[in-house]
Formats: sequence, structure tokens, C-alpha cells
Amino acid sequence: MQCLEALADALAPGVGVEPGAGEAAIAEDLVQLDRQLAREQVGRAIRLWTNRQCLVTTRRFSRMENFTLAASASAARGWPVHVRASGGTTVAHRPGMLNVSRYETGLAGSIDIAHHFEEFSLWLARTLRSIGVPAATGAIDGSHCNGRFNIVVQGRKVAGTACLLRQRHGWAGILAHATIWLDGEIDTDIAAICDFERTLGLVADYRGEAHMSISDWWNDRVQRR
Amino acid sequence: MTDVVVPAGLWSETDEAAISSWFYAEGDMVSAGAVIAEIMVEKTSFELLAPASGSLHIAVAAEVPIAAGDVVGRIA
Repeated sequence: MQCLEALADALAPGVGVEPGAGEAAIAEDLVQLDRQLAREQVGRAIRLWTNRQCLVTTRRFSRMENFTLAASASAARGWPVHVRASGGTTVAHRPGMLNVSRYETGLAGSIDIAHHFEEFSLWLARTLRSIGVPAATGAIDGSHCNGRFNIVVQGRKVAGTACLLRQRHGWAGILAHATIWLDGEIDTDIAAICDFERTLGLVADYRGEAHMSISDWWNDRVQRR
Repeated sequence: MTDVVVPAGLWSETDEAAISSWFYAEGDMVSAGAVIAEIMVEKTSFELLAPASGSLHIAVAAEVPIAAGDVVGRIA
């Protein structure tokens, strides 16, 4: 809990962390993005939130033939599946993870999405370093939802990131978000993701040891002393 | 007949892009401004909007590589 508070305060002082309730917490990202877009002005807002245990997958995967079967089986294992609009593949949510969502709007055509994505990831890494966690960005072999803008500590993934670009009435809105492992059983999370994606018919060979929580890093550091 | 064109200037030409999902089927009626497909570039999804109302003809299937300026569908 101290880690959550310290990180939340470093990311967005005074914003607070919303406790999420599954699908509604995920849908709130689009509500916030649309609200920001409706203002039709340049702006930025940040939301910090946690969520109940669930898997969050993409619209692409939700249209696969075996989706209903895979989602039902996952729910029966204690991991209900919800769908998000941003890119990537399946991720896990649960208590012990901090979700960071940033909503930014600008005139359509004025936003460089790759730069924005990179800047978001660098900001997360920089913020983690500000509280003593030696974070960087990069792809990690064997990690789930892999990408070059992962947040990485000691060669292991501590957070995944993804983006959505939505355009309305000449304005562009970008949702950039991350899910950061603070503590808990990562192997269990990865197994739930692999089980779900394999039932979809995908090759899912993610490895727990390619990931790390902030708590894992802290405990490792203490043991080395 | 209105072309559904992949917008330009949203991602680098060196990045691989593909339509990850069409949200409507061939021949479905769509409304102007509706999100009709999702383009995936790395881990960013881009929503493709219907440029007009009418019946959708899909010219490029999901998962096929695309580039800015490509005509991926038509609305009649």
C-alpha cells in the first residue's frame, strides 16, 4: 500500500486512486476520453485506478471464433474477461496493480502518436526512478503484450503500455495507459492470460520470469544487501 | 460511392499497420462518423470512421498489411 501511495503521488499529486469495479472501470477510460474530446480544446487529464481481478483483451481478440468459449472458461477460473479499445494483447488486472490512464486532446493532424506513446512511457519510467525504482523502457522476450514501450526494471517487465487514437469533429484524443505490477503473484496472472489466449487458438508462451513487480524488485534489493 | 481511405500522417511509414477488426460485415448499413474498423500499429489502435452513410463494401480484409492512402472499403 505504501508503494501504491508513493507512486500515485509521484505520478499525479492530489489525483488519488480510484477503486475500480471490473468492466465499468475499463469503460471509464472511453468516457473520460470522450469527455475530453467534447471540450474541443487542447488538454490533458490523468486517472489512476485499481481494478478487481479480471483479464482485459482487445476488440480484435473479442471477434475471434473461440472468444465466447475462452471467456467463459476464463471466468470459471476466476478471471472474467473484458474488452478494451486500445492496442496490444491480453493483460491482467487485479488488486496489487496500478492502472495509469492519460487522456490528451489536440487538433487532428497535430499529434504524433509514436512520439506521444514514447513520451508517456518515458514519463512513467522517469517517475518510477524518482521514487528509487531503476526503470527504463524496452521490449522483453517472453513477456505478455510485449512492445518497445514496456516499463522495465532489471531486464524484466513491470508494466505494459498501450494507446488508442480516436478522432471526432477535427479533434484527436489519445488514451495512453499502463498497468503496473506493484505486488502479488505474477505467475498466476501470466498463467491466466496464457490459458485464455490458448483457448482462443493463439500461441501464448509468456514466461512469468520475464516479469517483475515493484515489490519483487524491492525484496530482491533487500536480499542482496 | 465513397472510398474508405486509410488516413495519412498518423504513424511512420516504416511501421507495420493492418486492420485488426472490421466492426461491420460486408453489405451492412453504416452511418457517417461511425467507427467501422480498427487499425492496429504496434500497440496503438486507430479508429477508422465511416466517411459517409450507406452500405459498406470491404475491400481489404483484416490482418492484411495496409498503408496510408490505401482504399480499404467503399460506402455506396
